[in-house]
Amino acid sequence: MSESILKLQNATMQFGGVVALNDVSFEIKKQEILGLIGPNGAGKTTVFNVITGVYQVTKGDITFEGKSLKGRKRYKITRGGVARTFQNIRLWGDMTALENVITATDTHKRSGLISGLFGLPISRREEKRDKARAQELLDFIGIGEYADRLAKNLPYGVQRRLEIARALGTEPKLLLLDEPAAGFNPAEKVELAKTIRKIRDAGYTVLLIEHDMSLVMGVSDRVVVIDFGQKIADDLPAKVQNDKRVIEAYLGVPEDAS
Amino acid sequence: MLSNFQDQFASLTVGGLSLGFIYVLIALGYTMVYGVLRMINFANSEVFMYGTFATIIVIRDLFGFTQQSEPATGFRLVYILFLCLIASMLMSGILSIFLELVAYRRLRNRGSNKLAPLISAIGMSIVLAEFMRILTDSRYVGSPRVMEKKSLGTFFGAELRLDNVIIIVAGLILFVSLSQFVQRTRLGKAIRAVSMNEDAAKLMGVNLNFVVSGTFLVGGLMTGAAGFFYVLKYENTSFNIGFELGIAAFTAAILGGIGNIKGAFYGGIALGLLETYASFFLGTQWKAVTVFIVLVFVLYFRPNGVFGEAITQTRA
Repeated sequence: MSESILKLQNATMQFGGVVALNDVSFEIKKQEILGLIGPNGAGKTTVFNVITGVYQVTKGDITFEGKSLKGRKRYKITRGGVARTFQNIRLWGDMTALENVITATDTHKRSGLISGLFGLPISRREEKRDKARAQELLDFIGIGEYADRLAKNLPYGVQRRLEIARALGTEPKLLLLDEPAAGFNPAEKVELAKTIRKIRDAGYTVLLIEHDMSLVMGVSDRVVVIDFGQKIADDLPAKVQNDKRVIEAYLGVPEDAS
Repeated sequence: MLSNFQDQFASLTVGGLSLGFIYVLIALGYTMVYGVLRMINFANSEVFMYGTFATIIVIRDLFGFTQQSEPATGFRLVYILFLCLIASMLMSGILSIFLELVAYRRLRNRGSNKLAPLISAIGMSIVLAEFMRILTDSRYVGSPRVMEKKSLGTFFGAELRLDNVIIIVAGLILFVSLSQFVQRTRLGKAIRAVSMNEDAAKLMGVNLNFVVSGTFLVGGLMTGAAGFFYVLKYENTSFNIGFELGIAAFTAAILGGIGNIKGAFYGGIALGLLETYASFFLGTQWKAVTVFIVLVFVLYFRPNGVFGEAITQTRA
């Protein structure tokens, strides 16, 4: 088995009296697609938020490539190689698709202040290279033809894909996708599944939150299920689908069944 | 008579444009900070006022000009004016960064409500103005004449006075440079990213504190340049000019659509022209009345300013 890239160790997240995550442990292995599922409000997005530093876990720890993420600032986590997309689209609407990717690539670099400020020849050359790379990424995600259109004017499906391209622009090792198929029709979902596999095959590791069962089960190498902030399953897709606790969590337990 | 009127109108336009560029540059200070933080930096008016003093210090103390001195000419004049511009920009840029560090940053990082930084800004504005009042003994400070305001000739009947021409040309260059800076440089792109969607920017690896400092610096530099132009045009300053010019520039930013660089440009130019025409045709006492009637009228039809979008749209 290949080594793990991210580990949650007894991660607990408490908001006042509400426990959003309760003692959750799992790991993601390099170049794996891990699906994270659970009923509404189970704590899936909270997992993303504690990984990316939006919240700090109240107990337990999260390690990325063996180092704790505790107390690390958000931008440092991103620069360390964790990128994400959002459940609700948060693009930079008044930039073109290409600029969205370039800006993401740019901002995570430790640039020299002077060259960044004045665009000296060194950064001019870099600018060209960044542009070419951004275009490559758009092509890779399959939206290359939209490069020069403002993000806010793009069709919904393209915006969703652009979020992925932008996240890849930060050159991450781990990519977190928060419901990338929300609002997609079946054909688009099939396309997206292909893209996600392509991303993995290109060397990235993917953590996928998704409501759509067929997509998660079809694309994931392994699936973690959480319910009420607790992990209730962690296994291969086929096994998880038949797990009694998972079925109960999704369908509810008939009163006379137990 | 008619051609006389036309000539006057054309000359007024030149004067109005140069006043307009002063407003544009100060308005950029307000609008850039607003774009990134959704906060009105009321102390920007004092940042401007300190910029005017930097120019006077260079003229009076560095080059030893007095009220009796002969104006400089030729290469020496260019050199002096350039140093004045740099001094004013640096003074205001550094003061602006300093303000953010001591008065706003902690409030922001500790998640204060929206009003606390606003009050802090008003407080800093008063502190800076009163400090200058003490330093200058509540007096107007005149600038020795460093440049003779000769006419360069006429253009469609407009008299081209040297100071006005310098302000218009240099103002345009500064504005274009700023637009390029925001469009092309790394920091510029990060500034745009934060102003369009702060959360996304943070999670894409933007160091927010760095971007905020950069925004205050750039806004301060522009505001400082306005300070230099002001002294060049009016040849005096005082501890309380920040208030009047600041309110006018802030109005210009609102008129054009605050948070929007293009808005600051058109708002500033429109206000400069409007003020100049109103003072001439109706009398100076009608200046403020005219300006604010027009402002209310414009906002009636374009509540977010001429080039402004609703904030909710800009953020989405």
